[in-house]
Amino acid sequence: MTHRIALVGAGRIGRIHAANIAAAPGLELRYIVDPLRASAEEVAVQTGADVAEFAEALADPRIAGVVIASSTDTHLNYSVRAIEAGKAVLCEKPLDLDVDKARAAGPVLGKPGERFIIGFNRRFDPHFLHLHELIQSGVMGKLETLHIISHDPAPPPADYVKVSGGMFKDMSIHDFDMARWLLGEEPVEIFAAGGCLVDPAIGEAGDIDTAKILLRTASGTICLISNSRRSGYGYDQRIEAFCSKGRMGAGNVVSTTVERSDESGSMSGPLQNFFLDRYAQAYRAEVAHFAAVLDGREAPMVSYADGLAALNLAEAAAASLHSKQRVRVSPVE
Amino acid sequence: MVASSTSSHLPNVLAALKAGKAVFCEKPLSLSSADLVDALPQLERPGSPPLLIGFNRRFDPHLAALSGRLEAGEIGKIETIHIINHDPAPPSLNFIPRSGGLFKDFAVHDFDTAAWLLQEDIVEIFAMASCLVDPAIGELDDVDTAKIVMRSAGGAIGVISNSRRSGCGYDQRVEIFGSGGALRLGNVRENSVTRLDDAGGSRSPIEYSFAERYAAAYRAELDHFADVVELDIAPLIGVRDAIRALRLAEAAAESVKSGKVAVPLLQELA
Repeated sequence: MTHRIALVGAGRIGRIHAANIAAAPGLELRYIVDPLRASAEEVAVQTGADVAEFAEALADPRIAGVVIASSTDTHLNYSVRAIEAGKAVLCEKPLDLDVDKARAAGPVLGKPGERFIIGFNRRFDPHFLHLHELIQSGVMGKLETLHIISHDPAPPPADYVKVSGGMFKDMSIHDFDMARWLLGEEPVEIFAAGGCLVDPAIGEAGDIDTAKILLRTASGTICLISNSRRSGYGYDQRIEAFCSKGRMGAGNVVSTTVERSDESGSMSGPLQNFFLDRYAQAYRAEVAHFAAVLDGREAPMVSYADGLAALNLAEAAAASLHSKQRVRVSPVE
Repeated sequence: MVASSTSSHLPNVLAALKAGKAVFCEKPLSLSSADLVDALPQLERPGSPPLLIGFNRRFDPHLAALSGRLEAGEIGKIETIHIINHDPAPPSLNFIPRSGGLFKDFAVHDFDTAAWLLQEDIVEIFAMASCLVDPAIGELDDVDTAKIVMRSAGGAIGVISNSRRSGCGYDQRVEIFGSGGALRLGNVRENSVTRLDDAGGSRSPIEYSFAERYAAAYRAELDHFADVVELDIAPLIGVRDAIRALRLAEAAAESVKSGKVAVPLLQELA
């Protein structure tokens, strides 16, 4: 059975989803919604979809699912309206920039069995899925500590930084989700140190560009997150799990496997440059999961509660950064 | 050469210096930075023979190459540094009560390495610690797992990861992130043979303990001591380095208790 989809947002990430939805078996991209009409039309032409207003798309009973990839401040409003209209929703991260606002949407988005997926793309990456499976299996014993390295290749423009919600809510939020997922346990305390070392313009915009974050769970497991807005060598995405029987690590994916050696040493190819390359497969898998949820074959793998918990950790990290002490993480429900 | 139990290091060193001998002393010189500060007038008496402190990692050829390339500016300005130092297996429980604890006994190496590689003082420390490896270590009031976050005077941020048990040998890695890329120092393996089969590839284990991993460093350390004695050159690592590393360890322990960023006392070392 083919499910008809409306996509909200025809920007950078929206276009990725558009191409994946158009190519996914079992899905048909029916409508593109974007206040920038020209942008919506461009994507509609590429994918064979029609441009529509959001209300129009919701009113169409043949639309089964809505993918939300609009600007962050519109995520909650679109999500609530789509769920209330009986559609399944795949919404880009973050839920919102404000925990209280996100919490207020709980009665709608967080209802048990609700078909609402928050798009933490890394959960769908095959390498991290494998690592998760190995941790869960206990083959390496008990997980004791976790290192997540997540460094962007180059900093975003300062204009973006101003509306991003800050490094913790914009960037580290992915790592908070990975930490919760891989630890299999909620962090109960957090410490964050950060600075502006990459670009003074980011500091002037009131943000940081470099951070080290520590999380600790009730059982004492500790997770380190390292974030930087500029690696200088591509998209550095590594996770290492230190377990009672040894360690497991997911390394970087390189753009070419060709290695060159000469008298001065060996040169390997650069890392895949950014998320569109590194997580291309994950974005496809995410959309395939959405199709499976629409079919009723799978339950949502990443829920509203996951989106809220990651946002809550981001706020706690900011509190720790300012107070220079560890902060207790109170559960949000 | 002083390689006795830690509590006898300082008396042995003082006696040997007093007798006019050049001295090499294993780390840590003492478990109390206050005792070392008290002993500074004797340890640094004008005309006193030289004293070299054995922070073995400074003599490791791999770390020395890393340090040289950092100094040459290969990756620009240093922004952050990650040090992983995990022991293969925990020490005997008898050792724990007299070890000084994880920070003074174990992380002290990493504090010295961090200050050395950064060429800057560490001015802020935060530590999170747990007892995950062996509950008996916790019963002895120590921890066996820690992550430490540091900030240098110039704003660089560092992380140290410590565990008393890796389960996979002596995990010794350093990674430095700079404005122009990164430098990474990996583990040294017992041999370079890789086997490939249906299940994948398997390499030989990494060097099992400090005795193997830092064998070359111990030899180089001794060569340096010979140079200090014979050629009258200044020791690469002195008592002030020992005090600095100890003060950082004390600040880490304080941070674990308070839950706050601790500021190590370094003023009198200037």
